[in-house]
Amino acid sequence: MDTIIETTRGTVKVIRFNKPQKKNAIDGDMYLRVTKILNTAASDDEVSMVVLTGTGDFYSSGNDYSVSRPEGAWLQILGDFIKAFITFPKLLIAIVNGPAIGIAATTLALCDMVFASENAYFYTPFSKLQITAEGGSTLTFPRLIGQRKAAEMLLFNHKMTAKEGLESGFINRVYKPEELQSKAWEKIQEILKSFNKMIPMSTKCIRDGVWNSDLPVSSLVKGDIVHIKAGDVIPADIRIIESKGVVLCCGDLTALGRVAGLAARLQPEPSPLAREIRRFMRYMSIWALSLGVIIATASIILGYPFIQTTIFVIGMIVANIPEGLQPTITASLTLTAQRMVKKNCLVKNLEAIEALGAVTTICSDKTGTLTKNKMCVRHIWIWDRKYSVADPDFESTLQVNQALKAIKICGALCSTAVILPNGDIQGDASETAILNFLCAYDDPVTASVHLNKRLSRYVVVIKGAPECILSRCTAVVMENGNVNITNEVKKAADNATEDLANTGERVLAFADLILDPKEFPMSFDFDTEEINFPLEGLRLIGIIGLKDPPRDEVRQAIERVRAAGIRVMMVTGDHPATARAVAIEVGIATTAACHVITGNDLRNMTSDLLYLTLEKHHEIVFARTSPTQKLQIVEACQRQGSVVAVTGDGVNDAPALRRADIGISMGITGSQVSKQTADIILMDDNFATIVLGIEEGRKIFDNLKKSVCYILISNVPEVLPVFMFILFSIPLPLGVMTILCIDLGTDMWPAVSLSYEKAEADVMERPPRHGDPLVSARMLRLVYGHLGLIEFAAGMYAYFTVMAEHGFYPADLFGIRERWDNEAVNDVRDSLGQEWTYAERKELERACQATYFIAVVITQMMNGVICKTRFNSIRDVGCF
Amino acid sequence: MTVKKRPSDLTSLERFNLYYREKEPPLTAGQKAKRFIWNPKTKQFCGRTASSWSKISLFYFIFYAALAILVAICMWTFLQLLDARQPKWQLEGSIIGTNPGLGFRPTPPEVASSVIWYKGNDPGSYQFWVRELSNFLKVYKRDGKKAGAGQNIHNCDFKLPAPAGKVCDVDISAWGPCVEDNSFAYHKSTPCVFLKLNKIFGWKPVFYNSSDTLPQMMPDDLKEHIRNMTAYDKNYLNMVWVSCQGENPADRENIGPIQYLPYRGFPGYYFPYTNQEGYLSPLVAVHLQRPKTGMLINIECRAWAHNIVYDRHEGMGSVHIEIMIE
Repeated sequence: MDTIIETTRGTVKVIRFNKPQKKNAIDGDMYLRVTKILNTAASDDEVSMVVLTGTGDFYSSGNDYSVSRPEGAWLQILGDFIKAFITFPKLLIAIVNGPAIGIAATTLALCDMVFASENAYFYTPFSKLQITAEGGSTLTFPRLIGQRKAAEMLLFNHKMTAKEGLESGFINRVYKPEELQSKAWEKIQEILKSFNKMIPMSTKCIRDGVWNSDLPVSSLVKGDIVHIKAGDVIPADIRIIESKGVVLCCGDLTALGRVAGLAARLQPEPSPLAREIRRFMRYMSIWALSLGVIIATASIILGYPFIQTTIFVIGMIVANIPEGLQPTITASLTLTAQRMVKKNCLVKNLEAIEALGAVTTICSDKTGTLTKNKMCVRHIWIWDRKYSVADPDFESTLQVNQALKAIKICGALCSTAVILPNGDIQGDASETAILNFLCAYDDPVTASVHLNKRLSRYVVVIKGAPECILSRCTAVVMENGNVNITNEVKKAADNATEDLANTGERVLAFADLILDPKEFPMSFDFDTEEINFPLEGLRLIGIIGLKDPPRDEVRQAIERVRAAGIRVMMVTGDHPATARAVAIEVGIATTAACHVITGNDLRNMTSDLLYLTLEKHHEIVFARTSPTQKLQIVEACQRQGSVVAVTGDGVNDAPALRRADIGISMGITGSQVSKQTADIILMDDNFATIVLGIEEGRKIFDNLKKSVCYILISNVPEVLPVFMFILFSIPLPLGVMTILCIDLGTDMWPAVSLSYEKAEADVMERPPRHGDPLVSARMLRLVYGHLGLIEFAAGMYAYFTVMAEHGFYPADLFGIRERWDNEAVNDVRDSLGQEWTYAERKELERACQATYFIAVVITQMMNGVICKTRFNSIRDVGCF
Repeated sequence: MTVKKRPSDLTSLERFNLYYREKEPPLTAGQKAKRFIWNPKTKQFCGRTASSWSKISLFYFIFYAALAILVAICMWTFLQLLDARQPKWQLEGSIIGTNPGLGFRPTPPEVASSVIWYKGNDPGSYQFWVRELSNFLKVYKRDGKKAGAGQNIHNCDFKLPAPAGKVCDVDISAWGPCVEDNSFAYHKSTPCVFLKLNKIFGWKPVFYNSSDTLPQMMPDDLKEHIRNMTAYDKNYLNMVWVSCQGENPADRENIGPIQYLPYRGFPGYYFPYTNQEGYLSPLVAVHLQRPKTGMLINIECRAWAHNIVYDRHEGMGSVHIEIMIE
C-alpha cells in the first residue's frame, strides 16, 4: 500500500499520509517522498499550492520508530524534509484531520495555513523522549503562540487541543470533523480565486518595434500594436490592421470608458425608502410643530411663564418625533445586509436592500444571470433524428454511429479554439463549447491520431450556417454508410434547423469532403483566402445546436418573483429568437407569443409609444439592445412609476445600473465599473439570490411599519395629558421628563427590536407595495384611534387612582389647576379636607406622573406584542 | 374569499383595457379636492360611501363606548373600595407626610404672589382684602341659621377637649381689632393677617413639654411668652406656637410690634383632624400694630412643635408673607 498518496486537484497538489494502521507515523520512505514532492512542486508552474492531510482519524503521529532507520543518512533525510518545508515558496496548507504529534506538529508551524478538526490535538513530547525539539520549532512556536505557551508545549509536553490552538494562534480554523474537508476546501477555493484576481491582465504587443509578450494592460499607450486572437479581452480601443491592432485610445477615453463615465454622471433617484422616510418625517414635523404652536398659544394664554411654555412645547415636539425610527432603520438594514452577505449577496448601499422589496420591475440581462454563460452543445441532428445531449441514453444510442465519429473529427479539425497545455480551452464561446462537447464524449487526442492515419489524402472539413452548408451537400452520412441527398433529406434537415433555431439554439452544420489524392497531392498548396479547392458536393455529417443553458434555479426563482407580483423583463443583446426561447424556458414569458422588441424597434419608438407598449404588454423581451437603450428602458419603466431593478455585469450596463432604483451587479463575471455602480453585488451571479433579496427587503419594510406603528402609539398618551391639563385644568398627568423617558428610554429598544422580527408568511405572495406608504391612514386609525386611546385611558386611570388614594377624588381635580400650580398657595384642600403645601402637591403630582408612565410602559409592552405581526397570527409567531 | 387580481395575473388584453378604461384626463388640484369631498360617480363623501361611513361610525361608537364603559366600571369599582371619610394613605404612608404647612389669609389676587399691598387711606384699595378675609371667615361665623353644623360644635378648653364626634369652636368674634366690623384694622394701616395650620388627617402635634427645653432657634420673645404663659397655666404647653418675624434686619425694624390673637399659637385641643363634620381649623390673627408704611415688609411666620420640621427653601413649617402699605 502506498504510504504517501499524491493527487492533484486543479493547481493544488495534495499530499496525504496514508498509513492508518500506524496512525500515519512517518518513516524514512515517506520523508523522502514528501521531500521530493515538495521540491518538485516548488518549481512546477502548474502547482499553486500544496495541501497536506492524513487518512483516517489521525493526521500523523510523528516519527515511526518501529521501522529500522537507514543509519547515518537519517539525519540528512530529516534535515532535507524540514528544509523542504522551510524553503517551499508557494502556499502550504495543512488540513489536520486528527492529532498531530512530534514532527507532524512542528512542521505545522512551517505551513502557511492550518485548518484543524475539533478532535485534533498537537503534542510535542520531546523532553519525554529526551531529544531536542526539531523542525525549527524552538523558533517558530514562540513566534506563533508566544514564549510561554511554546515552553509549555516543547519543554513540558503540553497537549494542545484544537480549540486551544485556535485561541493561541497556532491554527487558522477549527471545523467539525465531518465538515473539515468540505469547509477547508471551500476556503482553499476561495484563496485560489483570489489568486486569479491578483494576476494582472496582460497583453502581447509591439512597441517601438520591440515585441512585448507580457505587457500589463494598464501600461498600454496610444500607438502600441497589440496582437489579439479569438477569446482575448480587447485591452483598448484599437484599429484592426492585418489581425493586429493599433491602439487609438486607452483608459477612460475608450468607448467603454466613456460609457463608464456616463454612469458616473447619471444621478440615481433617491431610494423608495428614503422617499418614504422623508415624506413621513415631513408630515410628522408639521404635525409636531403645529401641536407645539397650539400648546404654546394655550399655555401663554393660561399665563404660564415663558420657560414653562418652552418646556411644554419641547415636550410636545419630542413626544411626536419618532426618535426610535432612525436606529430601527439602521439596525434592520445592517442586520439584513449582514445576513445577505452570508447568502452571497453583497449589499453596498444599505437602502438598496429595502428598495429591492419595493421593486415592481426587474430588467434582467440574459447571459450569465439567467443562463450559465457557457455555450454547450444541446442537440445533435444526424441523418433524420435529433438527439438531445442531456438525454441519459445519448452516449449509448450513438456509440456505433458512424456519423458521430465523423462529427467528432470534423468538429475537432474545423475549430479555431485551442486547448491550452493546462487543459483550458481558449477560443470563442461556440468553438469552446464544441470542443468541450467533444472532450466530454471522446478524447480529443485520439482524434488527432485519426488524422495521422489519413495523411495520405486531404479532407476538407467545413462547418457553418446550415443553409450555406446544405446547399453545397450532395450526400449525407447515415448510421452505416452514405446516401445521396434527396429533397426529402434536405427538407428534414431544414426542418431540424428551423426547429433548433426556434428554441434559441445556435445551429451549425458540419460537412466534409475527401479530396482525390491524385488531384490534390501532398504538396498541394491550399489557399483559404482565394479558394483553390472544391467546396461543392460535400457530405453532410450533421447539425448541432448550441445553447447557453439557463441556470437550474432560475426558473423557480422567476416563478416566485412573478408570484410576488413583480414583472420580469429580459434585456439582452442577443438575437430575438434566442432571447424569446430563453425567456420561455426560464418563465419570463408564459406564451410563445411574448412581445419581443428589438433594439431597432426601440430606436424607432417615441417615448410615448414605449410607455404604451410597456403598459400594454406584460411580458416583454428586449433583444439586440445597446447599453443606452437599456438606460432608455429603465427610464421608461420609472416613468410608469415602477421601482426598477437592473442586473448587469458589463461596463456598458453601468449607466442603467446607476439609473435604476436598484443596480445589481455580478460578483464573478461583473466588471469593476459595474460593481462600483451597483447597489448590490450577487457574489455567485445567481438570479435566485435576488428573490432572497426581495423577501428580505419586504421584511425590512414590514418591520419598519411595525416599528413606526409601535413608536407612534405612545404619542397619544404623551400628547393628550397636556390637553387634559389645558382643557380640564387637572394637575399635569405626564411631565416633559416622563415624556422624554418614554420616548428616549423605554420606547426606543422595543422599537429597534421589532426590526429583528421574522418575515410574514405571505411576504412573497403580496404584490409589491405600490402606493402602500410607511404610514397609511389605516395605521393611523389603529394607532391614534384604538391603541393610543386605550393607552391613554390606562394612564389616566392610574393617575386618578393615585390621586384618589391620596385624597384627591377625580371630581375634585377638575378645575383645580390654578390653585394647584400656584406656588404662593400653601393650603390646597383635597376631598377629605387635608391641606397640601406646594411642595407636597408637586411630590404627589410626580408620583401620579410616575404611575401614568408605568401604565404607558406596561401597555406599550402589550402593544409591542400587537405590533409583532402584521398579518400572521400571534399564535404562529409567539409572544417572545 | 375573492382574491384581487394582480397586474401580473392579467392578460395583456386585460391590462390594455384596464389602462384605457381607467385613463382619465388629469385633474387640477382643486378638482381633485372637490372630487374627494364629493364624488358624484361613486357617491363617495370624503373617500367613503354613505354605508361605509355609517359602518365605520357605528364601529367607532361601539368601540369608544366600550372603552369608556370599561374605564368607568374600573373607576367606579375603585372609588367604591375607597373610604369616603378617610384617605387610604395617611401621615407617613402618604405623600402629604407629617409636617403640616402654614397658610395665611387674605390671599393675594395675583398668581404665585404673596404680597398684601394696599393704600391705607383708600377704601377701594383695602376693601378687596377685607372682603377676602370676611369670605374666608364666613364658615367661622355662627348664627342661629346654621343649626346643623352648630350642633356639632363644642366650646373647648385645655381642660375640656372636644368629646367624640364633636369639634372645637373657633370663636372669632372677640378678636380685638381683627374683626370684620373693624375692617380687620386695614383702614388704620395696621392690617391683620390670619394664619392657619394645614390640616393633615390624623396628625397630632408633639408639644414642647417644658418651657426649659425650647429650641434654640425660637425667638426670645416667644420663649419669654411661653414661660409667662406656662407659669400661669401648665396646660398652655399643649400649644403649637407661632412666631412672626421680619425676614431681614431691616424688615425686623419696619415690622413694629405684633399682636397675636386669640393665643400665640394653635391650642392642642383642635388636633387631630379626622375629617369630623364641621371641623374648623384653628386660626391665629396676627395684628401688625405699627408697621412702617411705604415700604415692603417681608414677614416669615413659623409654627413651633417638636414634630414640625422647618425648612425655609422647601417652605416647610413656615409661611412667607409680604406686606406693603402706602
